[in-house]
Amino acid sequence: MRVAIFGGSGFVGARLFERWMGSDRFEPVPIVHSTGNAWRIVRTGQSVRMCDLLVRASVREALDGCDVVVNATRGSEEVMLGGLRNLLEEAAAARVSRFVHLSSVLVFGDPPPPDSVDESCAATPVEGTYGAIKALQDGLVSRAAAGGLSSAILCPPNIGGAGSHFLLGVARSIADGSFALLDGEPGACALVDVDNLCDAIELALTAERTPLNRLLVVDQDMLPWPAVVRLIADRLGLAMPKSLVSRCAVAQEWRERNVPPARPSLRTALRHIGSSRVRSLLREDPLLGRIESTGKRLIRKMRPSAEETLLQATDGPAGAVAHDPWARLARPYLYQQLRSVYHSSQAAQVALNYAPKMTSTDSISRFCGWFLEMSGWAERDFGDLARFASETVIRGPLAASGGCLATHEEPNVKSQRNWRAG
Amino acid sequence: MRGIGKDALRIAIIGVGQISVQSHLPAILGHPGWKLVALCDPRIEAVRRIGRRFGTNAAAVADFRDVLADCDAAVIATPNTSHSAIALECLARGVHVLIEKPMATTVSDAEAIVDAGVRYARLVAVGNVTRFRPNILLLKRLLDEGRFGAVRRFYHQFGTQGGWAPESGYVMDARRSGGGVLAVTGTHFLDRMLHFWGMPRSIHYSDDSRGGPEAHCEIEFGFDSGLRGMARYSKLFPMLGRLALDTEAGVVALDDTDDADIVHVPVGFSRTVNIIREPDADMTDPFWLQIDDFRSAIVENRRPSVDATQGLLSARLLEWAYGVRRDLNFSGQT
Repeated sequence: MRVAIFGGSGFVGARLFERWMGSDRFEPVPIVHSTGNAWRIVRTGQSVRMCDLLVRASVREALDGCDVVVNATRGSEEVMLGGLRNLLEEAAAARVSRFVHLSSVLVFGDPPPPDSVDESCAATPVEGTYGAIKALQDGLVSRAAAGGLSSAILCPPNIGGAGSHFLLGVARSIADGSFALLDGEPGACALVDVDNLCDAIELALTAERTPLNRLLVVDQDMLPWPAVVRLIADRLGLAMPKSLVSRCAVAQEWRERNVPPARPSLRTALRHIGSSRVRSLLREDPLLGRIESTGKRLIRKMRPSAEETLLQATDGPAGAVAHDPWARLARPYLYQQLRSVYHSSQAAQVALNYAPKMTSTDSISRFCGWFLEMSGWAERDFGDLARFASETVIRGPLAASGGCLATHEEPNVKSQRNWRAG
Repeated sequence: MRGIGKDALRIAIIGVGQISVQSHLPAILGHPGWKLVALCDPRIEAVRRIGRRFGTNAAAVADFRDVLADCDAAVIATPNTSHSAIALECLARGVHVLIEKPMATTVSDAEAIVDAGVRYARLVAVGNVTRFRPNILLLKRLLDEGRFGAVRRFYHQFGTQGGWAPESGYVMDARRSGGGVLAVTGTHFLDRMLHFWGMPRSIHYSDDSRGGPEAHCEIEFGFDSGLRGMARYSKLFPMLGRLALDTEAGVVALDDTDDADIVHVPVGFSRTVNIIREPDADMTDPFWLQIDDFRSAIVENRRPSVDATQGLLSARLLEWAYGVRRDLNFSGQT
């Protein structure tokens, strides 16, 4: 069957393509928005189809000749919703025989609540978040399914394995010292190996019964966060993170940041226009600047304290100097550790016969092997220089040449880009 | 700065894609010694929009040949494999050329450009713009003066996960780009390496091409002096762009940015890192410095700082590397 892979240059799309090259069962048609990310495909000599999901004719053309669709796209909210609408409508019109959509465990919330162990958990993500957009996408696919488009929705967590963007970020954060573990009972680092996910996609493409609504697809033996970090650190020759950060404090901060976007209102708009930031920009125009200074004089004449009252109303109270104890830590990975549910793919096992072949441990090992090969860190003759070249913060001298990496514990120095004379 | 001097030379830009819009066009418009007379690209409507956006009344033409009679010089920023044919046409019509790197994708094309420059007595500059960075000029001087003692090894890397999507998409077609990541990304450093240490005696090159342009490559060099080096480039794996030198005086590092300082980590001083910079360095945009050098070379009738013979060396090195390529295989991927 000819498979249109939308998001063909992404991590999952490109892996599907590689698995299916030369396959008798699946003929991949990688479809991309930009050539900039298509190297992994084009290095094989295969061309890609270009597509703008926001243009119906472009989607129609991309789908031409394809039997089934895998949607592994990401993008802006407009692309993820408007683009998906176009894709579903054109797929239905083209009478594709199966539409497999990649969702996310974040449809249940970020972090996913404890009862998102299985699919019966209600999807209640905060409005405006990535999880909310994915939940809306799921709704679109379900509606298309009700209209006759045979479909499957697969829900993975973070995706691991060789080439994993997620694990690459974790590894780099450990390497540059910005990673910290949370205290308390460690939760799962929920992962699915990219090949396990691709297996599930293949099963979903050929499953006899649909629709398949939101099936969790995860590794069988997910590991707790400290074990994942230990595996990566040991394999890449990195120091384990020393800091432990309060889980409660991180959760509190995440709750404060992860609020629905403010609703548009005239009052808020006027506050923004009146803020000192906007007024300083307006002052660059001679006419607006004159109006602004006239307005200030009038306000002062009304009441001496009126200007201060207005400033408080527009800018809020003057800021205090705060100490950020996590200033040197990578906050995204603090927040990631709040996602700690051991999800179950029992439903996928029943519906699809999904049986993950890669264990989490092997998946992370494979990632580390790929990392070492790509980075050159393990090379005999230049590995030391390769590691040195990768340091965002240059730490002390290497040992004498011959390729031995120094093991000095150096105080943190500012990264080279930030240094200035003095 | 949009004023045009009364002795301004007339220049056309041939190929109005990303590099022209981001870099060449602003540099030319900001230089009083140049008058932009034409923007040449078959995508004529896009070119007209670009012209309006920059507020220039340069002619928008689909065929560069229509404007050569009115030009003193041209910037050639078309897909790599077209550089040679366009350059030869320009030179034959008496137009000096600044050709985006790589100057040519084959040695024979590069030799033809060198010969044409001589035959028609016109200058050929090559767009290895990083040579105009003050930190590169400084590092070259320090190396020539032996400030770090003998350089035993060097290592250079640069990697992104994708990125750089030229309008024409030519990088996705090895026939048009002249190669993959080595040709697209690596040639800047290869030029600097040749500038610092000359042509190597030996190279070992491997990449992950499976019939298309390579996305990841590794190349090792050996020099007559005993110097050994390695470079690694990727469109799949992000790597901080950095040159690291293992020298008698310690390790020296220079990041791949216009404003990076040279960092020296001395041997025997475990808690000291030296920052080396020139206090009065000219931090003008290197593309402006490049177009300024091109103009000065024309006016003074001298070689440009990066000329065709250097472009030819780069072409030789590139062809040599691709000629000895071996497969790279990575775990977990085909």
